[in-house]
Amino acid sequence: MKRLAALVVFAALSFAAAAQQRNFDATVIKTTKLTDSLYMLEGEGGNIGVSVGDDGIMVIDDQFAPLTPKILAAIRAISDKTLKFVLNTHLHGDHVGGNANMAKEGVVIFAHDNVRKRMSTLQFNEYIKRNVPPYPKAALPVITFADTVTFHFNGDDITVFHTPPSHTDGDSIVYFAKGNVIHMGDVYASTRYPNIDTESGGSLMGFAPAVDLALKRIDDTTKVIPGHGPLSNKKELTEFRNVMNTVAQRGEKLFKAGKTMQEMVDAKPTRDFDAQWNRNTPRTPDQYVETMYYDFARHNLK
Amino acid sequence: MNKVFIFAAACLMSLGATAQQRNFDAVQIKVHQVAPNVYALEGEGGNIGVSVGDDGVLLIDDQFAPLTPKIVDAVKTITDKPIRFLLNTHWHGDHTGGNENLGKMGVIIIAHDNVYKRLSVDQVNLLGKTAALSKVGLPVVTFNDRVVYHINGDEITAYHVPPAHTDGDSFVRFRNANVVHTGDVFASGRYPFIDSTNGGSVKGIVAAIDKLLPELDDFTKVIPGHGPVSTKREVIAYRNMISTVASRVEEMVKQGKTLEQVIAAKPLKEFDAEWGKFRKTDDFIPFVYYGFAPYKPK
Repeated sequence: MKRLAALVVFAALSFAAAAQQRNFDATVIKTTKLTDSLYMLEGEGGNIGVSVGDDGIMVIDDQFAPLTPKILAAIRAISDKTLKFVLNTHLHGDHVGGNANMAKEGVVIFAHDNVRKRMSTLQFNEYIKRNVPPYPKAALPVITFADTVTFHFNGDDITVFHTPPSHTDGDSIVYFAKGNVIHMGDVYASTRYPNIDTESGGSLMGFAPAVDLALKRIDDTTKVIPGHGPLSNKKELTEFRNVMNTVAQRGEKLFKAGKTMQEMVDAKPTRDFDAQWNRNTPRTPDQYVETMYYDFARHNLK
Repeated sequence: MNKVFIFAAACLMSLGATAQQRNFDAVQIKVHQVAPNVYALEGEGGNIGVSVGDDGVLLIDDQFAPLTPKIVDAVKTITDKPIRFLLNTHWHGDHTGGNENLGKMGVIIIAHDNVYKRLSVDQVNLLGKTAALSKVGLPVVTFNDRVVYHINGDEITAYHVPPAHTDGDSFVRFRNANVVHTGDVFASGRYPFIDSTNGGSVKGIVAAIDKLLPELDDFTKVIPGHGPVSTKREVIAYRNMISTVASRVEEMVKQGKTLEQVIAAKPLKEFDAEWGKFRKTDDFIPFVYYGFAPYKPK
């Protein structure tokens, strides 16, 4: 439990509830050009996708509220067109923290139905083990969707599709068909095991099916923006998918065999992947398996 | 065929293709309040639904292009908030004619995927040709299933129904106001146009209304695509009329009857007095007939 407490303290630093206390002065927004009209911004929190062109600007996720001025400055360095749309890939504070600020700029915020539902009510975040209060109305998505919406914007068809529950129950992936770029939200972290927010309806078992929806659309030259981590590609995304699939199957087998949490931890179902995939996280592999166990227990697999 | 041709020519009057030539000077936009912050605008073409409130104005459909100034003026008599959103219930020109004007004003246009597809290229149907809209008039966001606007203290859900009046129909439900805009899946008290050679489906209208009915109660205000603001009762009457007409005409098609034979047999006799006042039975039957018989354009 001490281990868990240490984890909690560390992890709390990276979420919205603590964002206001946190000092972002040193954060620099790094801009990476992907195509003539698509950019990736890295700062603190989830990676941002930006579409610019004659129709205006569309932003995928907006990190933490204190970073909005820096993010806007980075966007203005690319384009002086009107900010039109923000799309939230899911509800977490490191992806929606700037919503209220962006709304003041006149954007219309889009997200899956469940993102607005959860942002409207008090949430318990299992990862940081604390309550996240409801967001003010100004921060909420104004238009929500159940399955798929397509933005016919800046000469591209930008398809936003909801995935099976994986990181949360409100995840969306954003595919820029003509730009050949895909933003995965936190369904994909390019250098580590993803967080599974079971409290927000996420599930380990959903990752491979969710990633498959992306894989069937993309090719070897597609630029893959992960929710966290460096810019990636189909090969790495496929490897991630296979790891998640293998771990889910092993965990499911152990759970169905009636193993206790400790027995599942001792079986080390992630062992051969840990060196590569348990990086950049305060969580030990054993803790990850504990989360898996809770996930299976929650779904009460028979 | 001659009759069909005359009929087609007459019908052209009521759609977008000839909207520019047509004179709308005499048209007045009537404003009907249907709920505390929901209005219906009646002019020429499809009825317009309006949501007003702190978050700005959402319009459901926008009639013909020449009417945009009058429609904008009518909205100004209700609210001083800007028109921010437009939802097209389907692609027909008497519901999307104002899109280019509103798009130029910065209004965000949303519709079902198939509305975008059809508005992007020239269309030909039983009523004639409709030219593609320029980019500014096309929906900028499209959906495959449904979207919800969380504005003006309401949850306004636009949801697609399987092929009915067209292949891109949406119903729009105002949850808190208890109002529904049906687009042209429902026309109150009149025979409708059905785009049966272009993705629509006669039986689909019945199926779509059957999906809608459980959401209506005795107090729901129903804004039809055409005709006066109605209630569940008129929707049910319309559904039953379409259902009977569909099975009757389908049967005659199965018997191998030509369109002329079907029209001559006057299969809708007992409905005509009530439903045939705006669109005559002879003009209506082809839409149903070609919903079941193959159509070969000349």
